[in-house]
Amino acid sequence: MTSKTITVGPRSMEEMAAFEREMDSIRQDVMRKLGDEDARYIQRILTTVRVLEAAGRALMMFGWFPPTWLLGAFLLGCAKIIDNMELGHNVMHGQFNFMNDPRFQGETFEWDNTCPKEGWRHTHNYVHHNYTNVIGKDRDFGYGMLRLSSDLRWRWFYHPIQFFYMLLLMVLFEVFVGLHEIQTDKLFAGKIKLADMQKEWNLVKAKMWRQVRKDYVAWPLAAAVLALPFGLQHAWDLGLAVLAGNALANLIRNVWAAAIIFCGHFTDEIYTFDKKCLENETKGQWYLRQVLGSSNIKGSKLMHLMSGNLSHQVEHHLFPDMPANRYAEIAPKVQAVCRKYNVPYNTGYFIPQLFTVFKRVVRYSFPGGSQKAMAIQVDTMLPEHA
Amino acid sequence: MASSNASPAPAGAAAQLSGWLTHLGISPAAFDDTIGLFNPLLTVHRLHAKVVERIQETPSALSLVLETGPAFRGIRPGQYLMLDVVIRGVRHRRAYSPRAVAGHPNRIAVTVQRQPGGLVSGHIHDALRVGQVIEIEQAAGDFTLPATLPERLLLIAGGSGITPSMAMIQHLQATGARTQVTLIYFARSAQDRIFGQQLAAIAQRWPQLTYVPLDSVANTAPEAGRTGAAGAAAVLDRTLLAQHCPMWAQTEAYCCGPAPLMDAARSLWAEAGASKRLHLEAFAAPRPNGDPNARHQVRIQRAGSAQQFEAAGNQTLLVAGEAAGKPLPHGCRQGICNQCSCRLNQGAVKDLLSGDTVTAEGQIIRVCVTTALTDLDLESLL
Repeated sequence: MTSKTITVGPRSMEEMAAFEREMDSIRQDVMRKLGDEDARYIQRILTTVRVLEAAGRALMMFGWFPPTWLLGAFLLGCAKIIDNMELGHNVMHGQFNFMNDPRFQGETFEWDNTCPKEGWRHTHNYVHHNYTNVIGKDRDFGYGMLRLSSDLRWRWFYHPIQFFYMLLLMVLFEVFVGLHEIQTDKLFAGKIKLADMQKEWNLVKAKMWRQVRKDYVAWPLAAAVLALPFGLQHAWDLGLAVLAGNALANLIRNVWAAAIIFCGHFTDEIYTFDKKCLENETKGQWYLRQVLGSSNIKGSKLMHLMSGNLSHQVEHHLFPDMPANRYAEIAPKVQAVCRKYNVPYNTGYFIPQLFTVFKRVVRYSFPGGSQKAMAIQVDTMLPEHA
Repeated sequence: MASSNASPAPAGAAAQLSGWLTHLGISPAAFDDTIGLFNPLLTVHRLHAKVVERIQETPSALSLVLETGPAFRGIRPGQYLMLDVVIRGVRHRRAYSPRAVAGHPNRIAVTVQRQPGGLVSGHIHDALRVGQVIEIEQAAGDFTLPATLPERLLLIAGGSGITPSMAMIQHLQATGARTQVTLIYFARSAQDRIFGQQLAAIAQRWPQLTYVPLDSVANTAPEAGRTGAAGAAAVLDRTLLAQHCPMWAQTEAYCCGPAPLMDAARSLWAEAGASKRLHLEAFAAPRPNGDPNARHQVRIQRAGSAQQFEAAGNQTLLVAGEAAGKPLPHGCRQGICNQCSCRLNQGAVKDLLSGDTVTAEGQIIRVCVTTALTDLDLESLL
């Protein structure tokens, strides 16, 4: 087996320790000054979600009239995007636990998504963030559906049409993320039984039903009741319009969230890691792995908001518990440290980044491929190289 | 938690509506968020109040008049009210005794004594302005008058511990109760006496009140640099009680003040075999006095992840966690609100409120008022 050697990052354990200290101090500087500004920020985000959701749902009550229906679905979609990403994802990381406010407590926050909060805190906050891009550990790399590096064996009956699976994954993203909790890939492979995941499956079922009941039963029904005085036909029509509008809003959120998240970990220049990396991994090596396993999206303030600041995926992976509104402020510092230690800092505009994701998905539809899990080695760790 | 009366109709209807809306995916929190956009006082799950007036009672005591919303169930005199203020983005909760405001059914007043170096009391004094909205909770606590009013009542207050007594006296006077009330009120000096003039005026107009103001620091915790003008003259003892309330052991008694005053009352009533007639209300967190050199490992499990830190024997677990950079969710910091409750799975702690040792059998402890006696394994209930 051939393995590729690349030379990046700190070249000795001393340098690695210095790299670690510099990253630590970036974090310390921000965490020390958390306060009013951050609290006001997340409160404003919550208000934005509420206003957008109320406006979106209200506009849909005008029925199929295209301007209001489309705008309504779009606004509701935006509300769901911000609720899931800038609000939910960040709050559930515990970024705003410092506020000591039950409304923004990571452990109890509930979001507008079919993925139950309990499972998310484990698979995302713990598994994904600790084992980022470690093959066989980080289940978010390819979501058990996509072959994105040559670590996974190519199978003729599955992988050739994986671009199609990717599109399916994007369209039904929230459902797949929910099902991801019960390790669907292992279920299909027969490695585990549904009975093993019963507790998780019950939570997923309950949460999915809750979402279906809300978007596809209760709101359409409420609309139908509202239109009933104008006749049965109107009631039926409005109910359908609201149902379809809610479906469109969910679709908008699913596709957008998936695209953003793919850009964070599946772009062309992303590295994957061997489990060996985890043995005696220092905090500095962990930082290095986070940088090498994540990529950013350049863009405006609006882009950062709508991506839940996952446009600062590198910063988020370095400091998952730092309030996301601070990422923009530390990005130049992180970049400078990376430059100093010769660590590639992966960033680009949204469309080109997304294009490299598609390229990667297409490339690994075919056998072979050059990207393979690597182990981080520092010279002096290996006596034979010393 | 005890609540005074049923919710008023509009608030009840709003809560009912919110219940239905949960089926539309509008959670109670989201319902409040949305209502709060229009008027924060109208929220039904988390309550808010608006500061409408600030009254400086003494150089170090400030009264706030608060306007409450329709969902607030009102108060029974003697209860406490949790009040949340946000300081540098962080929410802090403290308990204060509310009293009714005559002529304004949806207003209440609380009086806040500035504590030396006190974060929350300092903020309320210096930064909380008229017009600002703060979060409150329903009034709670059982330091309240019995359902059928007794003939005689003895109130003992020390310093800012006067506030629940004041609420009771105003209530009794306003409702024309026939109860004979004796108030023994210790304060450092006339200048520090909260409601001093008001109480004297009430006693003049309302002969049922026997008002005994005493300048004394004897019952306060020793504190460097502050010795009151009156010295250590008056102490709560049998002589004093016999002088002002001869039937004291047969009288329903309420005592609120600094820990030494309450300790004195506790032992006096215990000696007289009348402990069940004495009601006590602590208003400050007890100070831990364990071994400062002991170091205990504390492990707290929260939502699948665990945190670990060291706690000295003289640190509350909450303070130890904060000192280690691992803040725990909490509320009042004095063992009232149960926001910081954890299940004790392993180890032993000292409960500073009761003085008891609690050993692990899955008991619920409050980390703000417990110190570690051994290494601990806790599970957060939030």
